[in-house]
Amino acid sequence: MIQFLIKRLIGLVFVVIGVTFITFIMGYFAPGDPIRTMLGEHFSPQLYAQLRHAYGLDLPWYEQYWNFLVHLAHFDFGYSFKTQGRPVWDILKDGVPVSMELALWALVIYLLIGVPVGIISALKANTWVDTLNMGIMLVLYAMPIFVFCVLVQVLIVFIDQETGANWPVANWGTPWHYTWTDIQFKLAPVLVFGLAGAAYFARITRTSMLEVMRQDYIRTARAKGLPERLVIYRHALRNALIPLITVTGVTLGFTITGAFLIENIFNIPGIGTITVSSVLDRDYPVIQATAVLLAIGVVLGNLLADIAYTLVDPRIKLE
Amino acid sequence: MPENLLEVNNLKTYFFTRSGVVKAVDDVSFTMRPGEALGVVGESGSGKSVTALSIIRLVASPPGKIVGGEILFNGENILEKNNDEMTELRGSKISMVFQDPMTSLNPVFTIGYQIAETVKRHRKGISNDQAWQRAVEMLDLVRIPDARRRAKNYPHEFSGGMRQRVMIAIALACNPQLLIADEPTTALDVTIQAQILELMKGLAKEFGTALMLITHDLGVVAGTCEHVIVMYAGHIVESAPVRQIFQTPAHPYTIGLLQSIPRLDEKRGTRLTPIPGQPPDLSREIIGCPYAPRCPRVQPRCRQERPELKPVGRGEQLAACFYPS
Repeated sequence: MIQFLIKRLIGLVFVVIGVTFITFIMGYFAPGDPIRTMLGEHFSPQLYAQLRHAYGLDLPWYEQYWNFLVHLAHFDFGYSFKTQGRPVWDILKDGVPVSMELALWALVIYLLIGVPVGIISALKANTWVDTLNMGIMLVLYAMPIFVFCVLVQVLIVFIDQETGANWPVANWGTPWHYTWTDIQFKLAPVLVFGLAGAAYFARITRTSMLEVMRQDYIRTARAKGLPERLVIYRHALRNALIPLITVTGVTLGFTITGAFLIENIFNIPGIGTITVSSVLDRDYPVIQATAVLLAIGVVLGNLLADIAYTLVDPRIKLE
Repeated sequence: MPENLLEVNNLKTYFFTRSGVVKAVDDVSFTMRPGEALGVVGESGSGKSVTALSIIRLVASPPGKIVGGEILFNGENILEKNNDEMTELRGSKISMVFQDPMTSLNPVFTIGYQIAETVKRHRKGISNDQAWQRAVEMLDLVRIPDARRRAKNYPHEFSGGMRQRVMIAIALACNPQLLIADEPTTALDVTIQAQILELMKGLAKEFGTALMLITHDLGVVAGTCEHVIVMYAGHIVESAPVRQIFQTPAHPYTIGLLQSIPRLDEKRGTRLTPIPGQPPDLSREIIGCPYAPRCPRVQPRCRQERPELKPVGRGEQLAACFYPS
C-alpha cells in the first residue's frame, strides 16, 4: 500500500511535467505577445525590451521552460503578466476555496440525487417511473450548461420581479460561510452544477444497477430467502457502486479548477473564472499554474478512487 | 403429514415474449417423497430449469409467469403464498444450488458471511457468532480444509469446485427438506463432478433432504438418483425408477438419449447414435406428440394427438407415448 502510494506520487511528478510542457509549448507558439497586450497601443521599444527581459521572455524557449520547472519545484508559480508583479499564487489562492466549495457541494448533489434516481430507475426499469426519471435526466444532461445557467438566471429575475424577493442572480458569498445571504448566493450555481452532473450519475448508476441485478449472485441471494430490500441494498448496491467510484474520483480531481462556464456566467471568483480571463489576457504563468493544479487534482482524485476500490472490492489489491 | 413432500400438478409456466408465448413448462405433474433423490433429465430448453425455478418461485417475471397448476409442498400450495411467506420458505425449507459456481457467489462478501447470512435469516434469535460458527461447521461438512480460516476468504480465492461446495453449504445450512440442484456439475471439471455429486448425495442422505437433481447428463443421474423424469419440450415424456430407465426405457426419446452416450461395456469402434433434428420451437402451437418430428417410430396418430403420460405396465414406469417399447 505504502509502496503503491509512493509509486503514484512519483508518477504525479511526471504527469505534471508532461502537462506543463504541453501547455508551455502551446502558449509559446500561440500568436500574440503578452507584453504588448500588457502595454497597450502606445509604448516605447525600450520599455518593451526591458519588460521582456524582466519576465525572462527574451530567453530561448527551453531556458524559459527550465526556469519555470525550477520555480515550480519550489512551489513558486512566478509572477502574473497581467497584474504586473503580483505573484500567481496570490491570484489563485482566493479562487481555490471558492471553486472547491462549488464543486464539492455539486458532488454532494450528484451523489444524493443522481445515485438514488439511478437506483429507482433501474428497479422500475421500463416502467413510466423509469421513463420519466430518465427523460428528465436526459434533458438535464443534454442541455448545454450555459443555456441551463441563463435559464435559471432568467427564472430568478422573473421571480424577483413578480414577488419582490431580492434573490441574487450572480456572485458568490464568503467561501465556506453559510449565513442566509451566503446561501442565497450559492444555491443557484450549486444546483445548476449539481443537477447537470446528477443526470450523468443517474445514468451510470442505472446501467450499473441493471447489470448487477442480472447477475447470478442476485438469484442466489433471493434463493437464500433474503427479502428483496436486502437483496437490493446489501447484495446489489455494493457491486453496482464500484463503477461510480471511478467517476467520482475524476470528478473530485476537477473540483480544484472549478467549472469554467458556470463560474463565468454566475460571476463566481473561482479558478474557472481566473483561468478564462488569464487565457484571454495571455497571462501564461497563470494558465500554467491552473494546468498544474488540474493535473494534480486529477491524479489525486484517481488515487483516492483507487484506494476506495480496495475498500469496496476485495478482488482489488494495490501494488 | 401428507405422504408426499412435493406434489406438482399440471404446472404451466409460460414466457410472454415479443415473438409469442413460449410454453416452457406445459402441464407437468410429478411427486417427490421425503428424502427421495429425483433426477430430472432433458436437453437445453426442455423446461427442467424452469420447473425448478417455478418450485422456488424465482422465475424471472416478466416475462415468465406461472399460469396454471399447483405445487403442493407439505400439502400447502406454494403458488398461493405471498412474497413474505415465500422468502421464509426459500433457503430454509427449499434450497437451490445453481449451475455456475463462478458467478453464483457475491464477490464482495466473505464466504463465511454468505453462509451465516442464510442462517441468520432463518433462525430467529441466533447471534452473529453462532451464525458464523454454523458457517464454519458447514464449510467443514462440505470438506473445505481449514474451514475456520477459509471462512474469512472471498469467493475469488476459491476454485470452481470449492465454490460449488460453498453453494452446497449455503443451501444445506438450514437443514432444508428439499434441495434443488440445477446442473450443479455442468460447469466443473469431470474429476470434480464426481466428488461434488458424491458430497451432495451423502449430505442429502445425512440431513434427510430430498434431492431434485436437474441435469442433461444421464450418467450423473445413474449414480445419484432413485427415480428419473425425462423432459422434452416442456412435457414429461417418461418417468421411472432409475434402473428401469436404463434397462427398459419406454419412450423413444429416452432410448435416443441413452444411445447418444458412450458406454464402457460397448465394443470399441461402435458409433454413437445422435438424435437427428432440433427440439421444437416452443413459441408455436405443437399439435400431437412434440417428439414426433424426430422420432424413428413415428406413426400418423402421433402427429395428430398428444399422448398422455400413462403406465407402461412395469411397476412405476410411465411414458407419454402411443407406442412405447
